[in-house]
Amino acid sequence: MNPQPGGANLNYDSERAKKARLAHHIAHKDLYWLLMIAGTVVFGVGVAIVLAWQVPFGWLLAGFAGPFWAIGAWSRSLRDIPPSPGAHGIDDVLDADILGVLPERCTPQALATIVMHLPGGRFFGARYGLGTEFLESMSSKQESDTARVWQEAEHLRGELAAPNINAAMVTAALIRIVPNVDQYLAPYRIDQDDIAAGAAWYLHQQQVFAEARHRSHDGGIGRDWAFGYTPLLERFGFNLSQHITYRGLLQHDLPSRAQLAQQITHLLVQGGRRNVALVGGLGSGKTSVVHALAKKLLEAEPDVPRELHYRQVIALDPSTLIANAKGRGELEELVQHLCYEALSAKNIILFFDDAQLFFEEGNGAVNLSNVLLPILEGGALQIVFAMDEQRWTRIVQANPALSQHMNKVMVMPTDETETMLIMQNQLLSYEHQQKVLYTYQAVEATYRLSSRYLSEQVMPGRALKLLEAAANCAEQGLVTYRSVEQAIEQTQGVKVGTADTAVERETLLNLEQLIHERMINQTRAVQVVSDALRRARAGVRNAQRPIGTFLFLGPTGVGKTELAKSVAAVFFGGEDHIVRIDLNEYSNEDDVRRLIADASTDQHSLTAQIARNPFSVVLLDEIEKAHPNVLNVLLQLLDEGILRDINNREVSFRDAVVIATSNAGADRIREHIEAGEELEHFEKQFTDELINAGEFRPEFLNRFDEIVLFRPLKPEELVQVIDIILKGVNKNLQAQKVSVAVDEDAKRLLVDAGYDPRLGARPMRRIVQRVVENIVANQMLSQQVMPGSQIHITAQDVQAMLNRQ
Amino acid sequence: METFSVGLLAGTLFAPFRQISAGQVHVGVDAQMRAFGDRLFSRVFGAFIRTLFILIGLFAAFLMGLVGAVQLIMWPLLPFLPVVGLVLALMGWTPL
Repeated sequence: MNPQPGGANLNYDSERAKKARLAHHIAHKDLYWLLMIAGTVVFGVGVAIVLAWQVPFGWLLAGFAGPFWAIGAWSRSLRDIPPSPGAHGIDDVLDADILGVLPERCTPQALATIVMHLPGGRFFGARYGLGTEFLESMSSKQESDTARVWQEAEHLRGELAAPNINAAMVTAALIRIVPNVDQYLAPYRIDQDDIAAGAAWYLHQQQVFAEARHRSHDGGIGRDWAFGYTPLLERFGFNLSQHITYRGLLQHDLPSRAQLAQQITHLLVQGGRRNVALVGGLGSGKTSVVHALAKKLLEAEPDVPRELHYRQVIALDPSTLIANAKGRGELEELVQHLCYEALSAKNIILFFDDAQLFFEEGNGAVNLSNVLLPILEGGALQIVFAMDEQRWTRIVQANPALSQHMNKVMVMPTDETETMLIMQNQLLSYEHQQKVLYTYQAVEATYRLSSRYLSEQVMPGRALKLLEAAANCAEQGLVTYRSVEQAIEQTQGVKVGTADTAVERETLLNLEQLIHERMINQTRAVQVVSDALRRARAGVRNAQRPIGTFLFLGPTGVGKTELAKSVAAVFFGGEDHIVRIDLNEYSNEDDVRRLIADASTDQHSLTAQIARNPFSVVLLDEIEKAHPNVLNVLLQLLDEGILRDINNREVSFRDAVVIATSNAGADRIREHIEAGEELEHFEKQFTDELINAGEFRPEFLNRFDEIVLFRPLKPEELVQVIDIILKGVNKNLQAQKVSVAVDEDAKRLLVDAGYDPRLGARPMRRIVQRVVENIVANQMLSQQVMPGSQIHITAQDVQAMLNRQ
Repeated sequence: METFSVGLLAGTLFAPFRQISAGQVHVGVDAQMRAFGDRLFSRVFGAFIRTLFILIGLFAAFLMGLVGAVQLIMWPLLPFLPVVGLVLALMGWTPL
């Protein structure tokens, strides 16, 4: 029913208002039964008196049943008071359960108390966490403000195309008219639009319940008498129509799905090809479309062609059929029998889910094209196939005849509005099964986070998957936005919430210190990276880009890679959170394909690794050696935080720190440093030099948040590097309960022996290995050290070992 | 009417019952004659069952209509039932 234009005035004495007040007193379910039973008893006793004892007075008693029955029937009729036709005022469209309890003079605050005791108001309490106290404390005590509430409620009714104003709309109106309401709503992570969305959700829920209560037309007891028995299909198939008849389908038709179901009904009755191939991405809702089709046919809607009325949709699961037919040729025979039975029955539409398993050979798949093609060519049997989009492309490339004999219908991913409706539909049964309640904030976060992190499916499948996972993180039966964040963090290994534990905050505030435990100097590089990470976890970064993008420039062995590893360890929780790509292996034009390969073909491609572990450091080593086409691909990554893989699937880099390293211009940096210049002073000049020398294009360099120069390490800094390496050696020796201590002059000797200005700290690890580790190994093997003791290495020991080598 | 599928049954009155023996036979005159007989029986049996249920459906619909009509007439009279009882009591009429 379309809403009628109504005014914002409420006539307390209108007929409908009086009727609603009366209904409030007498329209109780219990009262109805009490009156009807009492009337029947009075009538029965009266008639018994007349018949058993021949006393005519019994007629009078029996007659008194009339008023009982009349009042009872009247009270029942008052239970549902529809809106007045041609509504003129609020009293014409306001729900009777509000109208019936409304005092003549009502303030918004009194109205808040009334609605919060009704299901529509309680809906806001449960779904948004906005309790009675919140609403009452915000609502005005001025009677004159009530008109604005009605005005807003009427406005909402118009927006939602609702026939009446329910308690949810009044609650939403009460909230929305509060001045600066967004600041009160902000702590709940919602705004005015979310409140309006809540009223829409409640209305949607009411509509679904109303549809479910409405008895569906199923054709009656003789519906199938003109159609054949289907014992084989009953054994191997799943009758969707029967399932819907007995269990119902708790969903309100969505515009896009209804349109698809309508399109399919036309294709199934047209001459020639009477089949449909539903093609869409994983999770796009192909099966739901077939459910909607089955429901539409069962209800014999007027727009359904007559020959499709009450057709039974039977789903056949290819993997079950394949598992049941083990012998050679058995599967072909089984499928032929099933199709023949469906054809003979004359009222069956077959539905092959995951139909790609029947059109190609492979793991768990058997190519039955030779069986199915003649059936499709014949066009007598109505069949619906559901196929993954990419598999469809592959199958029709291999077998072009298939596309000629099938009507392809694309099932596109749903948009935000429809996905929210689908989730709301799903929650009706899901909350009941799981004994949980989802808040609005949780549903909204589900959409937002699933669209960002679950790339293997499309909408609405990815949202439903997360919705389901979030139930496992419910606290006291309540699924909140935090439960959804936890579900994502657990399943995807990403951190999506802001830093909320004292330990994490402490880590972030002391990032530089923690990184310097593993790195010597490079203060500026450490600082810019730390700043970017703090911005990310405080939630103030641009969420449409990677957490940070850095280009590290400098000679070998100065800590570029080490800084990347430190970030992975300190910020992402382990050095394994690093995706390292050596771009010198991507110097050819064709290497782009390898970089963005699908996980099924190459698990080590950049896109595959990030899809698996989006919360990582992406280390692009030796970027200057990559082919220009590879750099072009990386431009989008740096700009939007998105890369499309070879199958055109989006892979998000928005939770990654991207670090590119290059040795380009290393000699120039050394020259500047040796000339006594500070890094900060020649950064700009150095970048210009790189562009002028043709090492990098300016548009590429501009994509990075920071270009950080690393300076060569001095010998005294290399002593500190030796200390860090020795820490590692001691860590390894912990298992043997032995430790090693090296004198300061011995360390200096090690640095002198390994120092090479071109290689930086790189030779230090080698020299420690050759000298210190060899000394330790010799002493342990000769049993000079026992568990619990310390090996003390002096300059003489080092010199002796060096001389020996 | 819908519960007893009256419309659907009338539309398929002479269709073979549950498609039993409804298939075509293309071998031998004898077999074809036998198949024709079987199909004819299936159709006649189907027509009989359907007619029966159509009649039951129509009767049920008639009864429902009757009950509805009685309710419609009785509804405005219910408040006056005590008066009717009083009149009957004063008349002293008993059915036995």
